[in-house]
Amino acid sequence: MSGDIPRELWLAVRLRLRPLPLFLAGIASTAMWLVVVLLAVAWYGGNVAYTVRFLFWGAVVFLVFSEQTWGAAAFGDLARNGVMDYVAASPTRLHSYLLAASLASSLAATPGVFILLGIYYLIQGELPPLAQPAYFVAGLAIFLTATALITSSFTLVFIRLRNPSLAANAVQWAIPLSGGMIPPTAMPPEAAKAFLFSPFQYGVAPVVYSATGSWLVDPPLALAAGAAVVAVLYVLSVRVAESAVEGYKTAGKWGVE
Amino acid sequence: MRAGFYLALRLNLRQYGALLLVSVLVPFFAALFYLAGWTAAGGRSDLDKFLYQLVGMVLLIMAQTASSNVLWHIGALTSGGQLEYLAASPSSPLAVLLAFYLLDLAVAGLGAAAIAAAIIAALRGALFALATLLATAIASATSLPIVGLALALAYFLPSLRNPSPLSMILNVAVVFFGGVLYPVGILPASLQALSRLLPFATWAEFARSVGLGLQAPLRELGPLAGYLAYFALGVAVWGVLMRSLRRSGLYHVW
Repeated sequence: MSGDIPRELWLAVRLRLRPLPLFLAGIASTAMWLVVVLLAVAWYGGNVAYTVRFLFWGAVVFLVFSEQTWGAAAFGDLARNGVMDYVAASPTRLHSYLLAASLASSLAATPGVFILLGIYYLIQGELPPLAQPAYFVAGLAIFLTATALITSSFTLVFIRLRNPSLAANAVQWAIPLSGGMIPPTAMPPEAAKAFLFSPFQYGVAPVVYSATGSWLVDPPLALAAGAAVVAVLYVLSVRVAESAVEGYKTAGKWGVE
Repeated sequence: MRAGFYLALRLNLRQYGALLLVSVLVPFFAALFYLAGWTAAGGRSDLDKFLYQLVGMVLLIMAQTASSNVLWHIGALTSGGQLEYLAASPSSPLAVLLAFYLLDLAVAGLGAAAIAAAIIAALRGALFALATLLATAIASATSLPIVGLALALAYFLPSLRNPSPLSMILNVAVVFFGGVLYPVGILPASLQALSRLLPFATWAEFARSVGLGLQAPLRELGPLAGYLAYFALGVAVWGVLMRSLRRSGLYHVW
């Protein structure tokens, strides 16, 4: 799979950068919309600067997951124009190909993350502080792997839909929002407790928790739970991919192509 | 312009149903912000801020109609080859575009305003609901500077061949600098200064004062009139674009 990631990244970059004005306007406007949402929500809190600092990494999480989701939704085109048939015929296993594609999509969000950081600096006069850098690195690794596995599985769901946009829109909001994009630690305690039962919380929220330094559960425990969630998602993504390949071999097509 | 209304109805009648559906998003997103604000603020809620964002969502839809829809209509007329026919007809293409805009505004703006007014009537009373409808009418009448910016940006359409980049940037600029979902006062001084150069914030503030404050801030009439320079600029740039298309003969740029 390690060889697939640079190839998929190169493909994603080539596909997304053409036409360049559209890519730049798209990534800049998405980042600015996220700041608008951030400010619209932070305005409810008394101290806007403090609330923006608390919510910022949730916006980053959303931006990365959104890029992954739209990358997954675009796979319908690859099924329609026959590229997926070549993937099925190649020696690469489908789950590893899809995981590489999802990771490449998340890397394509990098310019947007830099724009978000730039706007944050303009608004706050400083870069967002990282309270626990070591935990942040571990949380980021868990987040990127967990969400790449989630979107690689959803790719095979989207491919079955005639119009995957609506489903992609629902998924791009549902997973981050149920995973602590708005930090549960800032919520009323009753609302925060509900997040303990969401498996996505352990995959998504450690990024936000470690950046703000405020955790819902003990950090090592949360990170261990995150690693366990990643393992379960990996098994699930392998099973979904195997089942999709079997279905393709039987029906001769992936979905509605 | 009468020909423009006829053409807009013929071409876009089917889309107006979808445009009306967008109106439903007004209370949905305002409620979502309220809920997110409630959770992020540790369970504190503020109804005034909800109403601010509810009216803001109506203004947002009107602003998107003025910015995005105008650019997409120009894109459609150009890619479909109709612009060349319009330029050769007795109708002015600009008048036709304004007719398209007015019909979009009547459908999307009225739908959004009616839903917001119903919610405001339930929360604040009938007087505020009527004021919200009046505010929407005033916002419609004072939205020409945003249309002007869209017309000015249309100059780049033949080279970009896609209205998306232009409409995305203009849309987000209206919301980011416009005080639509939050007051511009929470932005740093440099961004506030930039916001004052653009017509969005004064436009939104005037309409909101009428709808939620039951007063028209007369001191804002001067700046509102001044921002009409953006419409004049848009009309001038549109004239330059049409002349260059006429000279080159390349109306169909896709």
